[in-house]
Amino acid sequence: MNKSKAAFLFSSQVLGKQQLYLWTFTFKDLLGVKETRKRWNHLLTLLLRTWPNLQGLRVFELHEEHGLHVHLATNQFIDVNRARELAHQSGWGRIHVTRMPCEHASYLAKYLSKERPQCLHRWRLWAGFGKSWEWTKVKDVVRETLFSRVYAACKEWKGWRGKSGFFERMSLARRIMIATIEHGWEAGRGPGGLPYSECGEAFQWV
Amino acid sequence: MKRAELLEEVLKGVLLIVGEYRGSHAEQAGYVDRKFGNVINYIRAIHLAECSWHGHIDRVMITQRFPEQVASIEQAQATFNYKRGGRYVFYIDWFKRERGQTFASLNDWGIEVIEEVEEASAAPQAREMPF
Repeated sequence: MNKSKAAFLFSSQVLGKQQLYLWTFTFKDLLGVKETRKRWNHLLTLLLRTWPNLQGLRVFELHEEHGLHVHLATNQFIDVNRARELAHQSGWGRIHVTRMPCEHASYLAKYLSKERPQCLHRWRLWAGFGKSWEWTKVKDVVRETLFSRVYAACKEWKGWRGKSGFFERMSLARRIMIATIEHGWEAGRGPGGLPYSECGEAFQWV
Repeated sequence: MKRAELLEEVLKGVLLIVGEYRGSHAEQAGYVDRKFGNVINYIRAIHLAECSWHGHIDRVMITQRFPEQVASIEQAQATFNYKRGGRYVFYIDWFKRERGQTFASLNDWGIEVIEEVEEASAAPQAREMPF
């Protein structure tokens, strides 16, 4: 699991407190991913204009044979026939909708477990939409692991700011993490429970 | 596991790493949502194994994700019955090499010790003195 998927799962928990509907939007013909995104933006605008209180989560899935699909989890029942009209207006093909129990809100996360195709590099694979609700963003998610604690301690010790020397930082934190496991040190501390800055000679190898 | 059994597994093509056990760390890994305070967490362990990679000795970080029945770090630590310096077989799902570090993920078959056959050291053969 990565931070993005964790943020999606948190968001789906918030959205999942209400009655949910699962939608899938596909095309009859195979379209390029950029064209699909353009049409999705158009459709979303139309949907939100028609149902201003609509809230939900959107996930892109690149299907092996059928191009880019859009899956939605929404909190509100909307008239399927009207939604179909809007979909046709914005150039979409087929629509499928089904009721979804709240506890299955994270179902869409399975599409985020797939390996990201190169053509979707730097794309937002999922996003929330609608007013009056806040979804969890990646920046709101904190990861708690041995590595993150070692890295935070190294950051304090070395006074790291900005993004320069990222790979050297990762390498140092990883070496210290290996030493932490091997010598049984406390997470984020050196030998004898000392902060890294006070370890002196014990850290010369680093 | 005996050497012959290990060889058999290797020849079958079972994905495994053989290495010297160096240590383990159990932790509650997970994600915290700062906005709403929700948490997703699970118990996992990181095992260190020393093995050879392209002719030089390297540490491999092998991650083990515990099932839900293992709910605390103490329960996870109780499974660490490995001897530092001992040679073990780590059955893995995948491995990757990233910026000079090898990572792997332990599968359900877990870790098995390799039974070393200790040969009795014989007394040196007596030689007749030249004088």
